[in-house]
Amino acid sequence: MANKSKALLLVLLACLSAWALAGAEAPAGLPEEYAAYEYVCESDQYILYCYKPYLSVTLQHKETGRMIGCVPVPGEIKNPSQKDAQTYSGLMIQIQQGTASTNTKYIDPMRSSHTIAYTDLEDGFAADIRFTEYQISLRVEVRLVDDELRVRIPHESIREGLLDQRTEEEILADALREEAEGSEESGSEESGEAAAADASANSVNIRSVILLPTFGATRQDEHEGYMLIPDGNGALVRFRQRAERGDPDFTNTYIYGPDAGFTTPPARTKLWGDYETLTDTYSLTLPVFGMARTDDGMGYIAVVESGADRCSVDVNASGAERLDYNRICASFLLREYYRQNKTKIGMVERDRTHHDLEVRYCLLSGEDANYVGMARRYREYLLDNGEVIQADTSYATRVDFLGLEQENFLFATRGVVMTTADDIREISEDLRSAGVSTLFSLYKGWQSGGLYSVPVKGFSADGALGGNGSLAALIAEEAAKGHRIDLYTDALRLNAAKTAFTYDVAGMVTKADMTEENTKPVYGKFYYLLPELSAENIGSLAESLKAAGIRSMAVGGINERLFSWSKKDTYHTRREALDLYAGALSGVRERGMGLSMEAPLGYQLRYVDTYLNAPLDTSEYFVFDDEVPFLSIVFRGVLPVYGNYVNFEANKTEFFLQMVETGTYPSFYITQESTSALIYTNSNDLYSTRYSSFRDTIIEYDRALRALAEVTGGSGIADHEILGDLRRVTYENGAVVLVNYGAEAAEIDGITVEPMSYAWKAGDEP
Amino acid sequence: MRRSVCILLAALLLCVLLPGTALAKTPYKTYTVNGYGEVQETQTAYLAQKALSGFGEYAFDSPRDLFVTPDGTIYVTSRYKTSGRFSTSGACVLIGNAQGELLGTIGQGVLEDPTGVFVAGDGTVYVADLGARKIFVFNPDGTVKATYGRPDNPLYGDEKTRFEPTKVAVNEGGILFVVCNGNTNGIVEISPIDGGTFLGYFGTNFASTDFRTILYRAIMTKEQRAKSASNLPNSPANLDIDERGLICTVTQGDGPRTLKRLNIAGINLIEGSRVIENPADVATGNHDNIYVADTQGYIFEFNTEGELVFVFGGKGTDRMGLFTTITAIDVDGQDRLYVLDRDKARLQIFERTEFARQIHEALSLYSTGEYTQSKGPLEEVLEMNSMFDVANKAMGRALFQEGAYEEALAYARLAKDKQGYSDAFWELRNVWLKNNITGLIIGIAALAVAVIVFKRLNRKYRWTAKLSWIPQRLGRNRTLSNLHYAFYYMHHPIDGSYGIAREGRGNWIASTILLVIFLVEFLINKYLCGFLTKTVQDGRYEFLSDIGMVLAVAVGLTLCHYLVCTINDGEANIKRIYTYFCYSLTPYIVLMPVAFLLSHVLTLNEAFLITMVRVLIWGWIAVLAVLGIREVNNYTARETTKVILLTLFTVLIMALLIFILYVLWAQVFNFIGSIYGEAVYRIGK
Repeated sequence: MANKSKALLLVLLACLSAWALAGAEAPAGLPEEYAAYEYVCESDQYILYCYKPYLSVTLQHKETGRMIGCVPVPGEIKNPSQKDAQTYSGLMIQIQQGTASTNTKYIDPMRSSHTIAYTDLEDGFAADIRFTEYQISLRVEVRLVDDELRVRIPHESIREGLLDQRTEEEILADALREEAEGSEESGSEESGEAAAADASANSVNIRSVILLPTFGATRQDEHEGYMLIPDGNGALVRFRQRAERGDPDFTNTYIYGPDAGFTTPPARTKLWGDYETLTDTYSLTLPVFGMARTDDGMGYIAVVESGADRCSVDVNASGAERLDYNRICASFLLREYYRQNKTKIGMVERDRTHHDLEVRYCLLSGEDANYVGMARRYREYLLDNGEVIQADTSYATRVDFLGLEQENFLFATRGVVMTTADDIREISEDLRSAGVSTLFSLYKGWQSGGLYSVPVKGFSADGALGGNGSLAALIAEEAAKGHRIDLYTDALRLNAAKTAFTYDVAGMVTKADMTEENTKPVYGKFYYLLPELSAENIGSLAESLKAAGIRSMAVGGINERLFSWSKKDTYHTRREALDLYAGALSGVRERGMGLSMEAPLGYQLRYVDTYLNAPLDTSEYFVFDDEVPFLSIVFRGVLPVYGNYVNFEANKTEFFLQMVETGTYPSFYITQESTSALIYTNSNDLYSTRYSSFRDTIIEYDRALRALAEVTGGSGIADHEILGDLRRVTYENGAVVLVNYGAEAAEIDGITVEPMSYAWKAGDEP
Repeated sequence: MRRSVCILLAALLLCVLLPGTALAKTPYKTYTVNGYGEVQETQTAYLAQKALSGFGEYAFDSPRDLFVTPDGTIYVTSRYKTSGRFSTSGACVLIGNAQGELLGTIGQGVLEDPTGVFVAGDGTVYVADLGARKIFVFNPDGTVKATYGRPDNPLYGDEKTRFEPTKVAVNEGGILFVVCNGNTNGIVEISPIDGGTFLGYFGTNFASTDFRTILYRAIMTKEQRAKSASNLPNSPANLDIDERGLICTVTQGDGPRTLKRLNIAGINLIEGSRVIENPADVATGNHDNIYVADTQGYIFEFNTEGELVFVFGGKGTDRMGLFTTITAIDVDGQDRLYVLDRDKARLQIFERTEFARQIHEALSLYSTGEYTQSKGPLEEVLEMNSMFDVANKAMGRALFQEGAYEEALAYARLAKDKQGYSDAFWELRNVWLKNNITGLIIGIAALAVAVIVFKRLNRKYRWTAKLSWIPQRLGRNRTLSNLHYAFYYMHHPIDGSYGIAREGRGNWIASTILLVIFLVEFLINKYLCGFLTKTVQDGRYEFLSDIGMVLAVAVGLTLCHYLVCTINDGEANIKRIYTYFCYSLTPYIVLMPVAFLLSHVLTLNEAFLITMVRVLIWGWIAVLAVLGIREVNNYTARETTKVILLTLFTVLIMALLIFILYVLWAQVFNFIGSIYGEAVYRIGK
């Protein structure tokens, strides 16, 4: 009680101080370029200032006096240009006028007529802004809580006064009618889009909102540092003036990947007209981004707390043909623009997103202002907020098995048995006898009909693999020996060849089918299941597994796609899919079952106890300067993290060293039978899986990485340094791992590390 | 406090070490080709490590060509822009290294539009300048050593034959090989003697004329022929020369002859390779391998025989390893690939992966005849990718050289390498024959003796006579009798036809049974014959289309022939026509099992025997069918010929009709699909 009273008193005092200081001159120590800024409030570590006309906020670190925030506004700018707005405004809103795809523009407090009313909050301020011309209003709340800046737009504050009130059908009908009239009158064809645009020329919809677009931005190479993008394991875009032209920015990259309900992948040039040569980029699985000035020790890791499912991370790397600032920000999508599938008429989503838009900037200073500090801070955030649950991180080598596949035969297909339940038992025994004491496995293709017999609604193992009894017995026996086997299910897809007529599939919002097609030999087309059915299938499978005494499972598919969809003229948002999937995963855990997922999305983390297929690299954009183990640092010591399959790596030595560097556990994809048996199946892209080929490698990797895991224990990574070709990784228990990727031996801390090798030093703590 | 210091010498130092790191999700897939010629995904072979937009302060602007010396010095012909306060621009050869440092420039103020560059072992730099229409030769210090313009020699061509050099390569003797814009005569060969002596044209391509072109040109008027594009050979797009003096060229539009490896006599040593649609450049590697870059962003690697080992890359603007328009490729002594993107003015450097290194090592050893040594790296490769058929094939051949024929046979089968399989099978069959020849002869002799003894005893005890009721009883069965008649028809087609026409031999059931037997044999032979004669892939079954095709031919031919006979005073009714067509298939039914068995025991050397049997079968069938038509319909030879031709024409017309109907129905289905789509939209999904 006493503490609470004290805290209340402090807050009151702070408020009074803020009130008194508001409107006064900038306090001493504030750099000159911030003279136009007003004091708002302060915490123990930071003082918040704001240039109210432009909603530009900045923070001063009390201890060092250093600033971090939006690009400083020199004062009121007369006739601001678009570039000025991009540089100085604290808020950018993209609006859509009518339905023509080109009829969009940004409005902001610098160039657009508006009214703005400020309200002081206990720990910040709220700005109610109304763009009079477009009749758009919203409230921006900015709070400074300890070393965090929290920025939020409550969804209920967003008002749009010039919305197009017509239904989708009316828009279409108008467009078609006007198109026809236009043709009659002019004798020339007028596009449906233009006609539709005429009918709704006065309507204004918000497309997207960018909050604090230049928060933390630095000009050209004035500072040393970088922006962090959670692409793959983590990518850095350094502050430098880029001379090369034509480097596209990393823009419009949606957190949790693109929305398949609106967009289809762009057409790509194919080799000899048939072969897809490009790989997909990684999706941003974590709703974070960061920025660090390493020369003066200021930075932040920003977490998109609300609205992440429709938010992109926009990056601008300073350079030729671009803005002169290095900036990174969250851009919230409120409405998607799409073309109706049949008529090709442009449409804007009728309804906007209905959840708060919120970003929490966790500020970093001193030695924490780097990617390691960002990762550690994000780890704290996840644990403190229950976004991820501490799991048992004991070492186990992951050996996944492929059970059954299908190949064409006569007029149907026939099973290709690759690994039976008995085979798994034999392989596991063999590995244990060779010293691989703990194993973790996914069993893929266990279900009746094999790997691509999806969806899976219950526990029904294929008879050729041993059937339910044999499989359940195997899982129970192996569990007793420290070998967890998770039965894998793809909860997203429905095999079109297995189900000719179904109403269980999700359609795109554009009315097109939501399908995945490939040129594989057996099954060429898959639909996406309705999210409610995906959730139902996960629940029913979990229930039947539990009834069979199986206590864990692996869920896939729903980690790859998150989409809006339409069904019977009803439009469902990505958020609804997210909630349904989250509910299903929560149900699995509530049944007391373990759950593993491959590269889970941010919202799925709280349900998993094992992180699979963690990327150790990035999507290799030109704009990236460095790759860092951001994701590895976040999850090391919190979840057991397994890498991608060793089988398919072309640079095995290097990949092994990456696992050593990041504390990642190894994964293998194994079959008892020869891989060549898969040549006429959909798994023909697996080119080497036979156990006899990989036995020695598994044992070798297990021996080396298990020894390392004993040294590092369940500790998190405390520090990670890049020293040329050498990496020094320090764990919280004091253990140090040194990895040398170079062609020459290197000496560090009195230890010589051979080329393409590693060494370690045990810590003080066990 | 326990504090221990442990140093682990990594247990996984499996191979030669790579400098630098390659930590990336590769933006492109890597493919190879399996023994069937199918494209198949494999491990990444090369990783893009670095992208350069210029050297030092010199930024590339529409770079055209590059040359990389074995030590990694890079020469780029390009327009350039310099950064800094007094920025300049121009065109020259920029010399730099993989770190992006500028080592020098050549030809500033001399070169107008340099499009090709070659650097000799002594550092002499040869530049093809399209703008100046000259070849410039520079000393290593950048001074002009010589220039070569249009040859005066009348053999070069008439005045219209311009000299527009785009690419240049030079052999050890200093002979220049120049690719000229629009010159279809071939590569211009110039000797440096006497200020540049024209030696002639080299590696001339040939114009190809297909049947369609011949047909078109036959029916064209003189004016139309004059207006149509002249059928000239394609000019090579680019060239490179390897350390043995062999010249590799790439030519757009030359189909499987896109890539050529020419000896000094101009003879192409590559039989044929995969088609590369838009080849930009070719580079010879360090392992008898050849790299070809396609302007679309694909990079191909071939082995010495022109077999595709890898293809990777693709079109893209934002990720490492992708290109907008490739204009040049080269390789250094460390097997790093340097690829120039003209549109993005960017040079990307690729590093080999462990996998590619193992492949190169294995193929190098194999191509130099070190078969035993090549097995180690090949095993490594196959452990990483057991379905890599280039390695399977090499492994099979290596094992064959060692005398391990059974294993060689297995690998050849896996690699779909028919020649390798045939060779190994030959050896194994020899061994088998050596081991079993005595037993075989004894067995045959015993069989012959047994037959003779049986015949003698049979004459004495008349065993078979006691069973004579069986054929008599069976003969009373009309269908069986008619089936048996097929064999008579086969040997006595004229009498047999008379039987069909006048004696009522043959019926629907027997004919259909023969057709079904034919079909079954056809399928068995197609899918289960020996590997060397098999025309379909393992595991691929197209029963439905096979059965459909046979039935369609049988029904179509019968119907069309019936229609034609009806209006040509033929005496056959549809039953008889069906009968003699089906009976004509008897040679296939009788002889194809022989061909089938032979396919399992013969090698490619004796495969002509199988071909002979097949020719015999189909020839016999044709004779039976023709005689059947003539005799059953009571036609003269002239009438028979006329009816056959008319039948074939009718079949053609019917096929055309079916095709038109199909197209019309497709339109109907398309219309229904549109209605459905609209309904889906209106009603909702």
